[in-house]
Amino acid sequence: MEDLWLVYRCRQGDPEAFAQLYQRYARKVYRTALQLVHRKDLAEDITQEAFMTAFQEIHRLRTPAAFRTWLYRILVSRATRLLRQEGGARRPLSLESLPDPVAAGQADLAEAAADLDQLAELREAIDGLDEDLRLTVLLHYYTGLPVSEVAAALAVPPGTVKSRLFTARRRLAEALAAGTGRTALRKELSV
Amino acid sequence: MIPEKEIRTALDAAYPNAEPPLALWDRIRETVPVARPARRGLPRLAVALIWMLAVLTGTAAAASTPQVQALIDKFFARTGIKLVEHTPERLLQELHAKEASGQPITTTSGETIDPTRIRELAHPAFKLPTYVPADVTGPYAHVESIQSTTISMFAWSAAVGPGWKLVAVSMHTRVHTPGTETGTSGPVQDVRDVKVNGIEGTAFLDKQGWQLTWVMDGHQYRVMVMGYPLEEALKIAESMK
Repeated sequence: MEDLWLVYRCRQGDPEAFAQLYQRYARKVYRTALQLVHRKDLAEDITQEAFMTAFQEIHRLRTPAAFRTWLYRILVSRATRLLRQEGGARRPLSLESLPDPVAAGQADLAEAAADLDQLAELREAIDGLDEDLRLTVLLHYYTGLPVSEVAAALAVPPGTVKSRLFTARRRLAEALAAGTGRTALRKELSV
Repeated sequence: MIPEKEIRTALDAAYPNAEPPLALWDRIRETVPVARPARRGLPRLAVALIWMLAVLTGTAAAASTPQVQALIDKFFARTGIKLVEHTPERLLQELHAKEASGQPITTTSGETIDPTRIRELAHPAFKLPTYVPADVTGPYAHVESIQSTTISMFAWSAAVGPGWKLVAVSMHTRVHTPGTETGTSGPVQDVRDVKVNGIEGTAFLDKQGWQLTWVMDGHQYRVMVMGYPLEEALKIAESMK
């Protein structure tokens, strides 16, 4: 069922439609929030606020088919605000956020450790990006929003999104080349 | 430059098993505005198939969704017509079963079509919301779709076949007079002036049945009432509020 129709039913007060919209987006919204703040409690708060706001204001959504973009726009707004309230400091990437190579079925643990190391390095470099670049990268590469929707979610022109993605990839390459991504987490992993 | 694939892999690898806690939905659900529950259907239409579709003539439906939605909202506000509740599976099952049978299919208007054309005819409908109430047990049902095409409407008429009655609401960006009507409905057989819910419009009869039309702000809205005489069709249209 399309978002358009679910939104329409939500406006009619159909509780099942709200539940379906939640089920459709809750996991991705929660994980996106987790990627943004790296804290479960904050990710829960952000997800809850995003859905509550979206549902309570659903009658004000001008283009019902754009519910997903709207939801992520609210998510970004809440996440940014919460991060500011938390003093602007993002928690470092936690070990919990990384995949378990054994559970993932990688038999060669040495190779798995190397892969994990590379992933951790890149992840840390992503977290080290400026906030606007990091948000753009997350929404496009992780959440899977097309450039046009990222632009709408961040309230910037599509050209700005493209420019940010290009800049982000360049900076990530620079960070990895300089080895600046290898910090505390890598030390922790090597213990 | 870092390849996009590597960035996606690194991001996807993080929090691979993270799930929102179940209690989260419980908290959110408490705040959901459900003061006005959805209607369960209209008793006087218990033997009717209601199908609401919006057609932007000559325009890709997907690209026009917000416009369609806005215009339908307006139409509903002006006429008082409201939606009923529904589920999509029933008609889809009907259509698939007929397609799988390989037997010629007869539409509501009595036209016979090749079952291999079902997929082609129904294609837009499969991507769009069309619903039948879960509690319908007879051969008739309420169906609504807020967006579709005349082709998919034809496919649905094939899905239900003779003996079904169909009420459809459609919207057109261009105003078609009965004399210029084209498509699968055949020539216009009759034209009448009508008034529904205080709004003056035109009714015309073609092979599919009566079509009640109103023009608002340059757009034409239609309620297609298949299988009913005009007097009954007008009563149905008036009861759709």
